[in-house]
Amino acid sequence: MGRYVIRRLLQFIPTVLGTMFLLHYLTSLAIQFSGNPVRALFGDRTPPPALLEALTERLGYGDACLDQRGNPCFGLFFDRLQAIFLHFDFGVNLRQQLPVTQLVADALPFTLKLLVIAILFEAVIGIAAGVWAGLRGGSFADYAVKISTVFVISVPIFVLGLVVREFVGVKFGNVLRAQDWIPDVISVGVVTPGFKADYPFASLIIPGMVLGAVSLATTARLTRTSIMENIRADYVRTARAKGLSNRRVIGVHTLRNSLIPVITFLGVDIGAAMAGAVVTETIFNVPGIGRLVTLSARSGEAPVVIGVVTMLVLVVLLANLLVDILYAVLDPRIRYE
Amino acid sequence: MSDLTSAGAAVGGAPVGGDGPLADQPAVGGKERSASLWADARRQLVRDPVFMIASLYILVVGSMAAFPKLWTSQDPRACSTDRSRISPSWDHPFGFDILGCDYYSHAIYGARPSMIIAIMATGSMVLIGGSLGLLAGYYGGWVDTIVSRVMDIFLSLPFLLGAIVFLTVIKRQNEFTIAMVLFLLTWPVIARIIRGSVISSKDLDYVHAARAVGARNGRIMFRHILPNAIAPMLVYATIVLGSFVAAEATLTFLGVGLQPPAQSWGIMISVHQVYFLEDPWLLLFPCGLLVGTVLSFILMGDALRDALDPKFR
Amino acid sequence: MSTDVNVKMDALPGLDPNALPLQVKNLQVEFRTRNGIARAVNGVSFDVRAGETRAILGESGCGKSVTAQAIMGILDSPPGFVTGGEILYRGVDLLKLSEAERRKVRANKIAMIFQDALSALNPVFTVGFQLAEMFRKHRGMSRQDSKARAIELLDLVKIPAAKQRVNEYPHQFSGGMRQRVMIAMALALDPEVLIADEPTTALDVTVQAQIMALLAELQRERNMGLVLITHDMGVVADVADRISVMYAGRVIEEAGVDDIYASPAHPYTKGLLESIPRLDLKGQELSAIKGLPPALTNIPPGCAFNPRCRYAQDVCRKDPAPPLFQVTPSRTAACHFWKEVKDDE
Repeated sequence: MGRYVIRRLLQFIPTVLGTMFLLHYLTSLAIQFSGNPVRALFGDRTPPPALLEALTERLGYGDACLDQRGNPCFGLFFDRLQAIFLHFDFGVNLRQQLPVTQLVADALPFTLKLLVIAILFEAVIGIAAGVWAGLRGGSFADYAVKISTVFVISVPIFVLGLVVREFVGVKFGNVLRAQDWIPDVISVGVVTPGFKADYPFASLIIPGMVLGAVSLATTARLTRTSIMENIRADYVRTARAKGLSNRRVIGVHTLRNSLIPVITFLGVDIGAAMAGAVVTETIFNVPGIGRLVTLSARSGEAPVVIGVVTMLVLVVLLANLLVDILYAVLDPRIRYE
Repeated sequence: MSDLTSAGAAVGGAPVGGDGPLADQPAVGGKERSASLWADARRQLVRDPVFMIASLYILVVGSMAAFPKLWTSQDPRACSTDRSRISPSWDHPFGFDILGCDYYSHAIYGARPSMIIAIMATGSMVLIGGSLGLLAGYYGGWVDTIVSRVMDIFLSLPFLLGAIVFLTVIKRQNEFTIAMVLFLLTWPVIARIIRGSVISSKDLDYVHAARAVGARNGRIMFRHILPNAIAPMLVYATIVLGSFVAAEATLTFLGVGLQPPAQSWGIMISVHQVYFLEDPWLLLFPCGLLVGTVLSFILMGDALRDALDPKFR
Repeated sequence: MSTDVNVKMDALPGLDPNALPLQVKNLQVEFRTRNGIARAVNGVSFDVRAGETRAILGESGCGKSVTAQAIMGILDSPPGFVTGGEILYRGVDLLKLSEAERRKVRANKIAMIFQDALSALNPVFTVGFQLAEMFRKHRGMSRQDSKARAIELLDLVKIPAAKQRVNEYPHQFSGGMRQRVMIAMALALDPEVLIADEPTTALDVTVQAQIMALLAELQRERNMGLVLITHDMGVVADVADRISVMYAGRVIEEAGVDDIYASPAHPYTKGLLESIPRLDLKGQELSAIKGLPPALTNIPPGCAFNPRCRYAQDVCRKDPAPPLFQVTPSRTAACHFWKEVKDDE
């Protein structure tokens, strides 16, 4: 086990460096081909050259390599790595000159809550639906899960989000708000078209469910296939031959094996959900990291976008590492390879 | 995000079947066998109503993109603000949008950017990702190590986040740059599928036989190994076309994709989202077209997989 | 799980301690598949006495494993269904019991070991957990006590360093050691009958012999009935007392081991014996039974073996299939021409 963890850690370092370099190279290329991103801050106005230069220098876009198309800008890359890992510096935003770390720290609690709701929702409902369908292979339940997953997968999350916001948050919400007997937590807090500071948790429930909805389908599908494969396995037959109760045969011997890939998927999905939060938070106006990314992108604050995304990518990679270790904990065959 | 983050998760994380049931399909026999595989698949697909309806839908959308004049004689740019948000009528089946432009013709012309982006991105993904996967799988060794490492790095960058960064910095958000960024961030997925199926067919007896009679590497790759990899690639490419259509709309919605005077379904949705309750058709038409297209591609891909995978027969 | 704790078998209605530990009468099993109904087991009868080894011999697909699964009550259902017959444990018809009562018989009275021990053991639990589970769920023992019993069991089946190995996972054991673990698990609750379904097929020849010797020794110590399911004539000759030969879902010959080897009374048995390579016949061509066993969805009318049989005549091609003829008081054969077959050569 220990050796496995060490090996995974050693593989982790080049992946982190590689991913960060990829991010760095993509942005360098974009700057090399389309010019100084600082210019975008001024919109159509032409800034005084002195101010432009000062800002460019301050944001680290003054390096000569950014004028040579295709140059990988290694020097700049190492500067960035140094700033990130030694000084925990992910850059500053232009308008208020706040460090990106500060912006992220302010937005983080909302995104975390949203993620927890989303992952819980997809895990609980997805696994339950998958188990239900898997144990009744070929039946109505099985068919229902199969069909509904295809539909959920083909509706882009922003379409789903919009429809839910308008129909549930506004229309259905208006109906609820007209009734006196329904407590405000539900009619104003939960069923809301957007985030409300007065209900920091309740008003995130629907956005969280929207965020979890897409992977919910995948979770259910994965659980279903996994259960159907395992239920016919020889060791399940052995468990029956041991005279164990049906509940134990399914609940311990089948489920433990079936859920290994599902749990791995859920772990990896934390990363995907983080990216998905960009869309969900924008639609429901949640002041989290995702909306920070969208707003900065719309106003051309490239340094903030780069800084926040770099940070998110590090978190995603870390989550992937933890999932790999968790996988080894769950499946002894990996551990002892 | 249902676009690629989910497709990406579905594919990047091995569990859901990126290298799915097809990648390791028992690549049986030589040419005769594969010829009959394709003939069987065609027969099965023609008889599959889901596949036929989905491809009909794609045909319609495709012809909208290729020949919009076939579907409408209106000019989507002939606008007049006094017609703003007029409900659908016989002459203008989708009504008018906020600027008083004919909404139906906007929807028709809006198909083009989505399709162009999806086809460009998928095409380059298949060509370049496919070739890299083929090389990595066939030569193995250090070639494989390098390609696989690079693939891991690309896959660990969440698609949507990478696309937002790139498109924010580049500022020139047009069909070409969007297609490029879609391709850049997703090519490893197809490379992985091809690599898997090449590795599994590399050791088949008839490949050894071809090598024993002195066939060159190029010939072995293209005549003997590639045909086995085509089926899974085709399935995935079909599904990914749908994901890319959704991805374009998502990026546009977030404000980093196509920008307003351009016409696309994503712009239609993004511009009119606030009028949902008063004039729902402003959203339902573009959303319907978008979801229908994505769904059709996914269903076609599923049907193809069932038809091409001998295990499902 | 309280139902599993402290099983008192006297609770079974009609239990007769003097009756045979296992008796199968006219068992019928069918598989209902999309391609039609397959009659996998079609009127199989046999019994096992305490301390006796009953071999069930046949090619793969003849219904011998299905018979075993039906006895244990672990058929995959659907598609498999027991449609007739009786399975008697000491006079109690198991098919008439409720699922809860049936579960108490499983492992407690009749236990089973499987062909491929790697896939038959759960990969994500330690061997110790899987052994201790038997004591915890059936006997209500504590974790510690049951673990101690698990170690004893590993010692019993001669696994070295049992104390350490009890915490290991199945994939860390070699093939032979894994099959020993399976045997330990089956013997945990002192069953009266052990069904061994191809216990040595997946193993090397030398390991095969060790496992068979271990089984024989444990059987002798415990005076246990053993149902040995196999396709290997060699294994049968060494350990079996009596043999039932199965073909296409039926028992076609039943006799003591010496009788069968000396003078088979069914052409199929004869064919099987002739297809064993023998040192004394070195240089002669090995005879094999021509053709293949029939698909169970499409069994030929009359004797199922008739298309491959060199003795077959018109009577063999017409229904009904030949019944079991009494060859001697202690042996039977389902062939119209058993006399000719037996006296041939």
